Amino acid sequence: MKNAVLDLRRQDNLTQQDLADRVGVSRQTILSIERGRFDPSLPLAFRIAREFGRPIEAVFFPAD
Amino acid sequence: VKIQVALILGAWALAGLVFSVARVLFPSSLSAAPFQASAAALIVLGAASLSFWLKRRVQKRTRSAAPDSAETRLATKAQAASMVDGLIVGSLLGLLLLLQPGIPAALMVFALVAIVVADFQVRYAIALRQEKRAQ
Repeated sequence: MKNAVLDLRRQDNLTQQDLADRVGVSRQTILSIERGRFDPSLPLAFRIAREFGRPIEAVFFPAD
Repeated sequence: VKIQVALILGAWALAGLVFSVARVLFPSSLSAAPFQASAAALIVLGAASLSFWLKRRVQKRTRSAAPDSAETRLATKAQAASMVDGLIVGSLLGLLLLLQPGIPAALMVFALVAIVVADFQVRYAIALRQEKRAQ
């Protein structure tokens, strides 16, 4: 699964730690999601999307 | 929490393993000095408790134990793998008990717990290191 977390986070001028604090996970988790090494759970994906004020399909999308 | 429970079990298993080996090697001295054995157990459990407390503080600060975190998923994978290893090691130790009945069964049980806990810790540490190195 691909995602736009890195771009959206930079748009919002958030650090990885800021985003991690807001969605309630570790900074390592945000780092892994941005690098595409970790697919978040559905609740976490929804929290991240809500944090950016976008629908989940605008933040996470299939790799192909 | 799972890691803390694993560490507690590991500390108990380690203490049990030490005492079982000591009992085999020095049967008379241990029975003659129960307070020394108790003191040693307190030291092991005290050190383990301190490490749990420190680990818990770190986990709370970094939220690495949060259910949705990448660390939790790595820990779950490590637990699954160490359980399979535990089944294999347990079977081998059982076979060893059958072949060598003179070995105390308690020693084997403590050894099994210690091996499984150590296996989990090593697997988790390697997985976490690989995850960090990949970034």
